[in-house]
Amino acid sequence: MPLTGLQIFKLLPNTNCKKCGYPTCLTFAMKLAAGKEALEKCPDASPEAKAALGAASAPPIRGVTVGRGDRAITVGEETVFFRHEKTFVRHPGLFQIFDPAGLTAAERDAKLDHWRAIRIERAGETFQVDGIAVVETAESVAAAVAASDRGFPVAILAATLPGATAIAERIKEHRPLLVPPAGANLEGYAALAARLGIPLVVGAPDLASLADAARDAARAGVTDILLEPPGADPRLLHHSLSAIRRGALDRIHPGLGHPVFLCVGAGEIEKAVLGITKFASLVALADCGGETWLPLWTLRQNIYTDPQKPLQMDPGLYAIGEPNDRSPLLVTSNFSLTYFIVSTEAEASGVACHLAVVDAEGLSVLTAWSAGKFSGDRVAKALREMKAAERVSHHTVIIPGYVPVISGELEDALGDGWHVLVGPQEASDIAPFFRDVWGPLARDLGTHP
Amino acid sequence: MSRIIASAAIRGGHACVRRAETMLAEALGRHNRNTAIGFPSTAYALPIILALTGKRVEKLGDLEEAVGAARSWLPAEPTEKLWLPYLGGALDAGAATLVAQEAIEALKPLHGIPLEFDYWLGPTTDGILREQGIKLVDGRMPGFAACVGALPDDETAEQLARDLQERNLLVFMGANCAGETMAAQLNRRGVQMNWETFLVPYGPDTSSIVHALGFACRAAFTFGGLKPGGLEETREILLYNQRRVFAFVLALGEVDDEKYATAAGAINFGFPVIADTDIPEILPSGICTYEHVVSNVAHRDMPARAVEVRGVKIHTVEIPIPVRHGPAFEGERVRREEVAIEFGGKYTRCFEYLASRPMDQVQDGLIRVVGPEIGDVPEGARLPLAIFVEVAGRKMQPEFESILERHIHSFLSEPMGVMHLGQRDTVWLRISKKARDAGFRIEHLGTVLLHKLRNDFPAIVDKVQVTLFTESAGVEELYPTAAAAYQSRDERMGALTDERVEIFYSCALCQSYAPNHVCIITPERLGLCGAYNWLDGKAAYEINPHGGNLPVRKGDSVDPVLGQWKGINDFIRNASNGAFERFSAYSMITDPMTSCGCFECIACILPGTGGIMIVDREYAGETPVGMTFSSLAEMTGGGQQTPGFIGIGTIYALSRKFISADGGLARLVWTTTRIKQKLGDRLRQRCEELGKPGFYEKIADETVCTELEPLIEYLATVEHPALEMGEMV
Amino acid sequence: MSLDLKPKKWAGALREVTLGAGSRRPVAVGGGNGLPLHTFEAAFPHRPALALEITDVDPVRWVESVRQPWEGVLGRPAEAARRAVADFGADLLLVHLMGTHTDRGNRSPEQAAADVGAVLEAVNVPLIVKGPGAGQKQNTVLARVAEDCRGEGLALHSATNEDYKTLAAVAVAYGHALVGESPIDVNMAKQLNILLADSNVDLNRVLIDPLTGGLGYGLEYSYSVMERIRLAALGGDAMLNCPIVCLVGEEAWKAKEAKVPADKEPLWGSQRERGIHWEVATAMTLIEAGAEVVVLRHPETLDRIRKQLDSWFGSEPSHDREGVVQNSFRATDEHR
Repeated sequence: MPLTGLQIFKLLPNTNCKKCGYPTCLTFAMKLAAGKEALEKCPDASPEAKAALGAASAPPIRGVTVGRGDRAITVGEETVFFRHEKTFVRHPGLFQIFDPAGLTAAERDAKLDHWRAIRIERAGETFQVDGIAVVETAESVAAAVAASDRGFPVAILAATLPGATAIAERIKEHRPLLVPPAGANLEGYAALAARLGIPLVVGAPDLASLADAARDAARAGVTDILLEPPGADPRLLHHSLSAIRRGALDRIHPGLGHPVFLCVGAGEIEKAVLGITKFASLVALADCGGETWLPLWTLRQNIYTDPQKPLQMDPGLYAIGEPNDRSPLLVTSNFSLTYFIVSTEAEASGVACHLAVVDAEGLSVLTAWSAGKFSGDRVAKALREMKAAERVSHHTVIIPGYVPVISGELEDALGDGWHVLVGPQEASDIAPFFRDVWGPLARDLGTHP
Repeated sequence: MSRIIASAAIRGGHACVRRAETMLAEALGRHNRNTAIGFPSTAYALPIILALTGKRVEKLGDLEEAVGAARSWLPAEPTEKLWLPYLGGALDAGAATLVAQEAIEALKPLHGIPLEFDYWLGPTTDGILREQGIKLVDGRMPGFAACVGALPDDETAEQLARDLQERNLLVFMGANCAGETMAAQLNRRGVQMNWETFLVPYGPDTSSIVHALGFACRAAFTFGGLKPGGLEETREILLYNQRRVFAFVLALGEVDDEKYATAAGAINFGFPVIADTDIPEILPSGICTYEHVVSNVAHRDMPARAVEVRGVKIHTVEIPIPVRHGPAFEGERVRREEVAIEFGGKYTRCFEYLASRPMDQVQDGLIRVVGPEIGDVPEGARLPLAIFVEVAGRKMQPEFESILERHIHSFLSEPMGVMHLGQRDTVWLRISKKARDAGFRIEHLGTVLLHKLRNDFPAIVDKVQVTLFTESAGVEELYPTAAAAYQSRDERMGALTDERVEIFYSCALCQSYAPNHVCIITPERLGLCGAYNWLDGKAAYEINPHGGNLPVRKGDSVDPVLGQWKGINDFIRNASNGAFERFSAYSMITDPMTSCGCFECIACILPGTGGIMIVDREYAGETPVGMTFSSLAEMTGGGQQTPGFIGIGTIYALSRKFISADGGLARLVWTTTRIKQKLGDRLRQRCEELGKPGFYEKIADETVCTELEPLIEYLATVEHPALEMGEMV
Repeated sequence: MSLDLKPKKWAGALREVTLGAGSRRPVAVGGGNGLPLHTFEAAFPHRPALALEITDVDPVRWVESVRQPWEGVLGRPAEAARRAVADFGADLLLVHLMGTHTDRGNRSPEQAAADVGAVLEAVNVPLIVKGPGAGQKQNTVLARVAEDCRGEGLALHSATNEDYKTLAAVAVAYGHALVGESPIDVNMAKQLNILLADSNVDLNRVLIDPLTGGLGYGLEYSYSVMERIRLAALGGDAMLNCPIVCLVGEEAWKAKEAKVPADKEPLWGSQRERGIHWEVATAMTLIEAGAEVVVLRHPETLDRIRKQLDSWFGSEPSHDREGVVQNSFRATDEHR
């Protein structure tokens, strides 16, 4: 049973000294209880507090950072088995497997530059290649350096201990992840990782030996460890992943309290799906096409959304199709699910339109309205900020059918010349609404193309 | 049960069974035992016999057993001196009668008596059953009326048929009264009788009524998936009919023994009898949902009375007003230049008042305008208005008045061209010129209320009448009553304490995103969203017993100070999926209530002050604890028990039970100006009740400070009582 | 140091629901007594079943890459059914009567019943029959289909909290299973099942459709709600232990990401593969969360998911792919 914030608070000095970075001891205690802070940040914690909190406050799964600088990625620190219990905290890093064999320096750099340039915006998140997993070959030292120079966290997919050592030595400042080859004797790799202070992946043919191997690596001085689960087939992989997470949370073996590393070969998207949903923390992908990466990024975004805090869209005026000043103007909340449903249906209607997404703190329309986040005044203010009046000549705004109650207030707040039209309740009725209500109205107004 | 009815029913039962026995004996004398027998195009043989005995009668010989069973159910024939066990005997006789009557109907063809002739349709085929029976089960057809006998004249007969049709009720007709039948009367009036018009004449004999009951049984077999069999199965079939098939018997004209017996049979199915003659009534409920036999009802009132007695809920699909209506028009404004007529605002007295009445004191559907109508006054006129709604319902309770009254606002906002603002005596109502031109009148406000109340609250509202006073005299006369009611409701709510009730209500509406969260709503602690109080929970449960609000019995007290009860703890354990063992209603430190995320405010302890702070959702700034509302919400929400932190509805702060185990309101050292404004005088008053002079002024807010150290200094300066109370943890 | 990994045991198990009766070769789903795919610690009598969606009219909104494998049979339900079973190996089919929608052809209940009848003639796998969407038209269409195809053990899609009485009654009357659809909400799903049970529907003939959010479009909501429904079922909640069906294809192929051509979004890669991946990822994720029946659109997705499931449940297909029948017989009508 973890300690509550209040129980932890009682163990703290209650001086509100702010040395931990928080304004009060209570706030710090709450962060500790949530597993988001470590007791070390309190310089005045008594030995009793440390003893009491030590075991309880250590996260069941350690955090591991790979890389340095802006693109460094920290994984682990998970506290639950089911995402609805709290949330999955650190989304898994997706690394591009890169075999530089046979490439000229220019070809290699072109590839790395291309990967570095990839940025895809989706629902408030920027998707990018999180790191490069360099396959050890003759050209790998240069490739690893090139990747590190570009800011990428690097995983070294080692083939030989000397080869890996050569790469690791060169980029040790960049905190690379050392991945020994399958079945290798881990001792040498553990010694290397311990000496350089870099994270290490340990693997084993079964869970018991995996846990032991991780414990041994820790004893050998490796502080940051990732586990590569046994996973010859989907069933075994799923079993291993589930057992590691459960074993870590139940603290049945210190060797299980580490994040998980997974390598996914070409054409194995199913394996990556399994990894992302079931607790893998670093996934190295052989495929490099968007058709593989986009679904996986999106899946990660979905699974790692805080289930108690809805995914939000950036407020603003979104174009559906290629709208002009005579196209309909719809307004909705910035709850991502609402936005997605509305935009999908609006797009399917074939009618280009403007979609004004109003900051409703990520609540659905009706909830937002009840909470006062989708009032006529707020919507009007948002429309003014988006300069909606300059975008549509008809000055008519279509509001969701669930909140007709704001129509009067909104019309008042928008002022002269604006009309409020109550749209359908369900997004699926947008197409018929455009056809049956907006169409004739637009023709009457003489605004229809 | 009335002794007279019981005696008559038993006599009738004996007569019927004897007749069936005679006809059967005659038939067996002339026909082979294996002669096929039954009604056309049905897979349910003789359905009543199938339902009541579990036996399929397919051959003539099979009838012997069935009629024998009927015979065995009959109690001894009553004599003048014999004292009767009322209900049981009569019901058994009724069941025996139905079996005998079905046997008689099945035997008729063998005796050369047709079942289908002239306008009589005879038994219903399975094809029609499938098409029409489902409407009874899925609610498209609210129920059926089995009309037994005849009306005094043809015109009344037609009127009754039309009244029943208007309510969408299926009308079965059978039996005669001195040779006259309702079907013959309708036929003479040229009324079409068939399955398209929902007017179905079965036959001129009383025994033909079994086809109506057989129809109900077959619906239960088909759409309820019920199987014939033994006693338990029979009970299931009867219960199914009682719960789902909203049928009743209209006894028209003189009621003889056989009709009494048939009625007793129908009562077994939960179908009550409404009579136009002065027969003895059987009021207390037992088998039927409400009364069993209601007599002396005028023909004009029969449909309404029957609907009420059977508990049939009639849903109005299209509210008969001349303008469009619906939630889509809810927020619409009627601007000054568009006003045809206006009530209230700052100009005239305008109030709405909903009162519950006993069933017999409300005339359902009555809408009166007392005073000028819209056309009687010049455009733009300002009139006073009293909207006086009287409702009655079997499950209506005076406590629900305020809940229904609150809905008047949304109901009257729905017609296009009507603007309604405020509640109680702060109402402002406008009707637009456009609406008036379309034919909308003041009276239609009543029409809307009538249908919306009946449609939206069928579980508690059976009857509605609305009076709209539009002249000063009437308005002023009613006002003191309404004002007194508002006040007494508030006082009643104020006097409603946790100790005085045995049941709290749960609210699990938020489990979709806070899986283990359960609100426990007590009279003195409303839901943390601020939207649901105990009465709302109670009404919500009456309206939908499978919804998110369930009654929870307190059970034995575990800790009266913390507010823990065994029943509540048991419920919490189960409803939180085992995540929590205990719940304190009155503490934020020990086993506090979980919080979903919809809380209006968060209360949190402030170590160093001995007190707490309350911050509202709208407040975006820093707070003395060092967290903004949104970071506090992250700690508090999600359905976890977080000692020291609770989500609350704002007005819980005013409750005597506000963290009473932890020291109560006197602990409040800091809050936001918005909360102070919202609670206003009520907070001031509550502070005074604490008996700590000047306490209200000592509560800091963001204009005093937003950090802990200055707050502690301030509290010392003003000598806040919390400082004396000691730390909470 | 040995690992003390105790298998997790639960008080409850899923109901086992058999789809198909009469002339159908039945497919049973559910019955498991552990978390989805946790074959290492629980027993699963049946593997998740894979359905393909066929339509009564040409689904003009389907994107080209998912139309392609169905070329020549779109809008010809019997032919599409044969191809789905014989060539693509579907365990069962979802017949989507989209053409009965008032805005999409307004086909009559009689035409709908004839379409379903033709599919029943063509193949002998169980059918889920999906109406045009909640409302009076759906009730009329599905009631007619239910009556005309009585005894075939169809799964009628779908009853909702607001509108369940008609379909509950016809499912009971004509021996069909029923899909109860609720909007991504555990309590609503439970409430609907209570209402169905109250209408005398046997919950052993009910599937839960918790509403599928496709990848990127609310998948996480479906995922968590399904996990919670499964946990409730395993905890012994008899009102939430019906197997779950997910309409994956419909939702996955609705996504913009499954439809936009590669030349418009060069970083997104090949449109065809991307679409299939979108469906594969949605399906696999929801199977992990507890889907017992997934309805797909692209046969390649079906093939890929089947291969995955083989790893857990062995490679003998539950269906030998000879589900196409020459002379089918229909259930005799006992009511006539």
